[in-house]
Amino acid sequence: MSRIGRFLKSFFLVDMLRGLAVTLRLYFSRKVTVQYPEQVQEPAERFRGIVRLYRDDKGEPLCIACKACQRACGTNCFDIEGKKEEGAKVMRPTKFDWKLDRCTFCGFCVEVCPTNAIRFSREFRLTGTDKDGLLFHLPDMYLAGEDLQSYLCAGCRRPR
Amino acid sequence: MAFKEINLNMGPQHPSTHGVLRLKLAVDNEVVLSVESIIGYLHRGMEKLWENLTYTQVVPLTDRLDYLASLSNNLGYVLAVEKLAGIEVPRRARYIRVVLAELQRLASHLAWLGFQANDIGAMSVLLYGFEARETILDVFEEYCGARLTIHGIRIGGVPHDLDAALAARIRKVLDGIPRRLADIRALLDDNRIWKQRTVGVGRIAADDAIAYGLTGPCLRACGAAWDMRKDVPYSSYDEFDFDVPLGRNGDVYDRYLVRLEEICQSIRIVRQALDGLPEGETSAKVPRVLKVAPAEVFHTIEAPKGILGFYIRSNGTDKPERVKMKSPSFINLQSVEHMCKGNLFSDVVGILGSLDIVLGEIDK
Repeated sequence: MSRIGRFLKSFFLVDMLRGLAVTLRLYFSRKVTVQYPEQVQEPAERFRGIVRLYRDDKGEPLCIACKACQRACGTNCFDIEGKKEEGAKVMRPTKFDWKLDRCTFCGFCVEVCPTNAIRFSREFRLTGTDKDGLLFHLPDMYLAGEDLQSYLCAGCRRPR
Repeated sequence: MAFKEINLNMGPQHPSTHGVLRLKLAVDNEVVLSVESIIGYLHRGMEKLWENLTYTQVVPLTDRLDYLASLSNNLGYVLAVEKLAGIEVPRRARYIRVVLAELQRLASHLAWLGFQANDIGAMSVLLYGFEARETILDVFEEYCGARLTIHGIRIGGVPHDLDAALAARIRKVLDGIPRRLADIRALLDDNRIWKQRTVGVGRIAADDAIAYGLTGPCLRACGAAWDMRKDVPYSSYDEFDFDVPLGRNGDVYDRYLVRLEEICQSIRIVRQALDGLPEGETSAKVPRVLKVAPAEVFHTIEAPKGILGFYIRSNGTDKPERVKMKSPSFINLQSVEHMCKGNLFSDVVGILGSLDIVLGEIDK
């Protein structure tokens, strides 16, 4: 480019105006921001949220307290104890503690579960007001996930 | 004015050090005389921690190293373990890994572009870059359920198959990125403020860069062609056609241009991988408890920040005896004094940003 051309380009602020044209065009484009507490974006189908325990169609718990998830876990989230009742076919958990504050949501527990009892929910609100709320006991594990929506957040499990 | 040396602290809590990094600067008025980087504020003892975990359990923790490109860390570690244990990965799994790793490179470079422009003073670029990055993170969320610390690669393959619906979505995302990139280039390429802050700033010659061990886009901006994907291909990279963009001057502006061109090349690679996705298994047969005979291995990959290497020594059990990581950010940071010396104090932020460091990787 000639020197005069460069001078004119520089004098008439062509580089600046090109940039301002972009910002002006995008100022009038569709907004992409989601205003979070009012609008909530639906997580994806495979979203790795809080893990929860499931029951089968008859309402029987699926967990057989085999502790496969406890062994697979790299951060020691689980503390599980099982007991076989008189006349029962399989073991059932008597204690199932899961520590939300230790979980890295890697998914190893879900992948190793032989009965598909432990699965990810799509619950992503993980905050709590005290540390005790981050420790999930057996009843909380069935509660976790979609049922938690009635609570303000997963950590404290206090009603809205 | 009389010579007067002043010592200044930048960080550990400074928005432009990209984490908890402390720089001890000696300045004469506006000119930087020396820079000393003090690291270790984010040290979590990762390498020692891995010695107490099984080979599989380490993978999600590698996410926490370079958290802007977590999948590249997964890939580096997993390839090293596979080399150590002699696991042959199916071709389809290798292609899916390439798709994911290149998408991660896109996300990392777009995040870098936003941070760098924001540090220098162009805030709209941060917003536009992050909007494009967001679409890639949505793809990761759909693929494996997480956005940032993805854990999207398993030893022996990948956790999920890449179905046609997801492939179509990735293509749509790829179509959108060049348009966004054109907007960003219109804002920055010829902009006189951007050029004054970047052209000729933080120069390093190719010889010095190699002597400092600089890798990745920072090295290629000096004109030294070294890309592990091209020169030491891993994970089927030799089956794709792509160029290695090179700079000339080794300044901040060239690093910017090289990264922009790398984004275009990554889009090319992902398109080729999606077109030629072979049929077959997505995972090799790997025993649930992986025990590896005593041996040692070192494997390097081209991560978005530079060359990422993992050294693993096994001892016959299911846990590694020693893991050592060669992290690109740590090595790239060492050349910051060479680049900053003689430059203006206000350019330290731009030079540090152009190295694309992540403190999770430096402090481990």
